[in-house]
Amino acid sequence: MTWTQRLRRFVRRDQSTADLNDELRFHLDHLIEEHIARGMSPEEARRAAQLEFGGVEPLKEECRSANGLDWLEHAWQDMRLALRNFRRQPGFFLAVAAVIALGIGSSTAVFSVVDRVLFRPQPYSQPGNIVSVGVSFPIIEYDFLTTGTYRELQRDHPPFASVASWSGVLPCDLTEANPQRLSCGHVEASFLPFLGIRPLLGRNFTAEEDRPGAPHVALLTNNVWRSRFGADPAAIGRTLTIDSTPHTIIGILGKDFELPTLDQAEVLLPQALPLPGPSRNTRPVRAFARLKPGVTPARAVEMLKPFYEFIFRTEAPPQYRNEARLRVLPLREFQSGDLTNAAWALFGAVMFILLIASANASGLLLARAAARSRDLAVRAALGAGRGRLLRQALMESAIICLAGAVAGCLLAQGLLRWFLLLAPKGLPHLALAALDLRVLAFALLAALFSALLFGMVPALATPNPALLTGTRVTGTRSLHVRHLLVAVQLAVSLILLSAAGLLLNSLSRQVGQQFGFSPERTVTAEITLPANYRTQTERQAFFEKLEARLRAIPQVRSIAYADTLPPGGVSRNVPYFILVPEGRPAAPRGTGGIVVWRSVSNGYFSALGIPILRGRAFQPEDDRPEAMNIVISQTLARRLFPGEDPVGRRVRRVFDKDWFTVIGVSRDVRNSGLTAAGNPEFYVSRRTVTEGSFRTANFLIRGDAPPAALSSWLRAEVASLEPTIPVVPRTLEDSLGELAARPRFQAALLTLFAFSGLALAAAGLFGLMSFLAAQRATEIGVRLALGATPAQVRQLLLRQALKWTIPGVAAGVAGSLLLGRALRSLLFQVSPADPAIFTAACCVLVAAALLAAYLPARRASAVDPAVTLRAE
Amino acid sequence: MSKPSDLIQGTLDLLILKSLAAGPMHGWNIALFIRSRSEDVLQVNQGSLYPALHKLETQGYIDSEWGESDNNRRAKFYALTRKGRKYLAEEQANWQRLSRAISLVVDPAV
Repeated sequence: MTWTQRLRRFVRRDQSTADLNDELRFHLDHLIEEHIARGMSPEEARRAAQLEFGGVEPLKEECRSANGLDWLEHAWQDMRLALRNFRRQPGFFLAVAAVIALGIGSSTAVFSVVDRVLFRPQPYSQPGNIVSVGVSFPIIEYDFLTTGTYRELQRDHPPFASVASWSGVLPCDLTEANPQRLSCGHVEASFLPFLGIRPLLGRNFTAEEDRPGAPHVALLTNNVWRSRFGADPAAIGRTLTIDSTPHTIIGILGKDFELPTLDQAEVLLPQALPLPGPSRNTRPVRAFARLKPGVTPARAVEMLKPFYEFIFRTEAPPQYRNEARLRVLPLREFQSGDLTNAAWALFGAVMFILLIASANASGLLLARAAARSRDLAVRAALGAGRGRLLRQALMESAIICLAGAVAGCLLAQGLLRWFLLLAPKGLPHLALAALDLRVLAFALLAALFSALLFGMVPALATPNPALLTGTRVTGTRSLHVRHLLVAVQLAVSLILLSAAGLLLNSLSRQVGQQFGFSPERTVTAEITLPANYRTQTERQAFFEKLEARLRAIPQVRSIAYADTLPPGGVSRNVPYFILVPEGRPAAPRGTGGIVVWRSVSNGYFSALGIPILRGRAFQPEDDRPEAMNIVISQTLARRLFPGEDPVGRRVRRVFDKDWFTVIGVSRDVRNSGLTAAGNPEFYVSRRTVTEGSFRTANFLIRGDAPPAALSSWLRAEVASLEPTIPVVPRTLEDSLGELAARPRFQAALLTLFAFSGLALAAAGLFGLMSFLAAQRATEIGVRLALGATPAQVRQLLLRQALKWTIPGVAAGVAGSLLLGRALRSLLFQVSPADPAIFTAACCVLVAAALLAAYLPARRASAVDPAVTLRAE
Repeated sequence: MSKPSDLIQGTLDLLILKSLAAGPMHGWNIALFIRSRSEDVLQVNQGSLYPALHKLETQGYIDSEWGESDNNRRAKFYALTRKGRKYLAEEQANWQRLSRAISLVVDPAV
C-alpha cells in the first residue's frame, strides 16, 4: 500500500472502521452457521461463536495498528485532548502562550535590530582592516585631517597598507526641470577602489578628473538612477545639472553601495582637492586607511606619533593641542560609535528576557502538572504507557508554543514597525532592518527549544503512583531556586520600570520645554540660489524680492530669514575668547567655549517670537554696511558685561580694529539641540555681512493658514522667481519633533523592556503561587474544614508571596538608583533619584505582583473543602 | 500482552500467502483452506488471522477488494500482488531449508 493510500484510509477511517466491522461480522456469521450445521440451536450457536471469537475491540485495535498509522491516530487524540484541556482552562493557556509570545516577539524584534548593527556584513572587500584616521577636536563633529597633513600621510604611512579620503556629504541641488534637493558625496578618485567597490555600470573617476578645473563628472547611486532615469543603461554619458553646473554621468553604483559613514548620498562627485601650494592646505578631508596585517588600531596610533608631531609643526596652532587627539577607529566602531555597546547590552537584555520567558512558561506548566498529578497518576494506573503520557504532554506544550510563536512573530513584526517609526534618522542600518529568514528561524528555534523544555520537565516528573495512596511525597528542593528567580525578576522589572519612568519624564520635559521662541504655526524652508547669482547684491536682491512677495499674502503674519534657525542644525560659531568687550580685558586664548552667531533679517526676532529684553531689534537703519550693530543674547551680555547695561557698549574681534555696537539684548534660545546646554549667541543684520557664501537662506513664515497652505505659497513664490530651486518646506514643530526622536526611541525601547519584564515577572509569580496553592490544596482543605475563613487562607498564601516580593522590591530600588546614575547623561531636567518616579514604579510593580499572587490565592480559598478532602 | 503463539512467528504469513496463491479468497475461506490442507492440525484463530491480513496488505504483499461470497453476501477478498508472489517464493524456500534442517536434527535416519 502506498503512503497516499494509507493516508486516504486514515482520513476516511470511519469508512475503514465500518469495513472492518463488516469483515469481522462476516467471519462471525460463518462461525455461527458452522455451529448450527453441527446441530446447535441458533441461540447456542451464537453464544458459542461469540465465545470462540473473543474480544472484538482489541482485535480491531490490532488490525488498525497494522495500518502503521496508529501514531497519527494517537497524535490526533492527543491534540483533541489538549484542546479540550485548553477550553477548560483558557486563562492558563492564554497566560503561557502570552509569556512565550512576549519572549519570542520582543527578542525577535530586538534581534532584528541588533543583527543589523552587530552582525551584518559590510559591503566592502576585507572590511576588517579598514580604519578611520583623523584628529578629533571638540567643536568639529567628525575626525578630520587637513589637505596638507593628508598629503603627508599619503606620502608616508607606516602602519597602513593604503589610504584614501573624501570630503563628506553636502547638500546639492539638481537645477533642471523638476528641481530636487540631493546629497552629494565628494570623494577622492582612489576612494571606491580602496573600499573594493566597482560601479555596476560605467567606470570610476580617473585621477585626472579628480583635480580642480577638470571636466565635471558624476557617479549616480542606484536609487537616483532608477527614479530619475528609470534604470536605463543609456543614462551613462548624459548630463545632469548639479548646482547649475552640467556634469557628465560616467557610472552607476550598485544597490548595496553605502558610504563608510552611512551618510545618505545620491550622487558621488570627485572631491578635487586643491593642488599642493602655500595657503591651500587647510581644507579638511576625512581619511580612511587599511591596517597592515598584525597592526592594531592602538599600535597604529603609536606608529603615527611622528605624523602627529608633523600636524602640530605645520598646520594646527599649538594651543589646540590639549583638546586635539589623533584617533584610529575600526570601521564598525566608527560607524556605530557608542551604539556597539548599546547593541550588546540590548542583545544581553533580550536573551535574558527569552530565558526568563522560558523559565516562567515552564513554571506555569509545572504548576499545572502539580495540580493534575493525581489525574496523571490515575491514567498511568489504568495502563497509559509512560511514552504515551510523555507524548501527550509534549503535544500540549507544542500547541501552546506554536500558538505563542505565531503570536510572537506577529508581535515582532508590529514592534519592529514601531521601532522603525520611532527610530531617529542617524541610527545606522535601522531603516533596513526587517524580519528576515534567519531572524524568523531564530524565533522558531526558540519556540522549539521551549516546547521540548516545557514538555519534558513536567512529563518526566509525573507518573508517580504514590500520589494515589494519599500520602504525598513532594520535593521542596527546587522551590528556593524558583522563589529566588521570581524575586530577581521582580527586582529587574522594577529597575527597568523606574529607568523607563525617568526617560519618559525626561522626554516630556524635552518636548514641552521652553525653546525661547514659539514654533507654532510656522513653516520653514532652506533656499539655495543657483550659481548664476554671483554677487552678494544679486543674492540679497532675490531674498528681498521673495520676502516682499510673501508679505503680500494676507494670511502671512510675519516673515524672517536667516542663515540658520534654532534650535538644532549647524550654526556658525566663534571661540568666546575672540570677542573683546570695550574697556575690559580679553579672555585668555583657548578658553570660554564657543559663541553661536547668525545673520538675520530685520523681522527675525518678531517672527520667531524672541523677546528683546533691553534696547531694540534690528531696524532698516541697521542695514547700512557701516552700521556695525549687533544684538546679543542674555547669557552673552552677562558674560561680556557682568553687572552692566550692555546696550550702547562696543565689542571687537581680537584680530580686528573695528568695533561692533550692541543695540539690544534678546532672550536666550536653545541653540545646541534639545538637551545640550545652550551657548551664548549674537546676531548681525544680514545686509551688513559680506564675508562667506550667502547663497543659502532659511525662510520662516508664520501665518493663520494651515501649514500645508503656507508651504504651497512658499513653494509657489519661489518657483515664480526661480523655477530651478528645490523647496522642501516643513514646520518648525516637525523639526523639533525630529530632534526628540532619539530620546523618544530610547524611552520607547526601555518602556517595552520594562513592561515585558513586568508581565513576565507577574507570570512567574502567578505560576509559582499556583504551584504552591496546588501543593497545599490538602492543607487548605483541612484548614477550611476546621473553620478557617477563605480570607484567612488568602492571607496565608499572600504572606508567602510577600515574603519574596519585598526583598525583590528592595533590591530593585537599590538597582534603580545605580542605573539612574548611569543614565544621568540621557536625562534632561530630571533627577536620577526622582522620588515621584520611584514611588510610581514601586506601586505599579507591587500592584502587578499582588494581582499575580491574589488570583491563585482566591481560587485556592474558594474550593469546597469536602471536595479536596474526599479526593484523598 | 502475549499473542496466541500456536504457530511459529512468521509462519502464519507464509500460510496465508500460500493459500492465496490458489486464487483470491476472503478471510473465512483462508482459515478453512489452512485447516483442511493441514488435515485439521492448524487451527487459525481469527484473532491472529485478521491482524496478519491487514499487516500484509499494508506491506503491499496482498491486495483487497470487496466482492460477493458464495452465498451472495458482501465479503472482502484478498489476492496476492506481484510483490507478494515474489515474497512467497522466498519465504517458501526459507521454510523448506529450515524444515529440512530441523528434520535432519530431529530424525537423522531419514
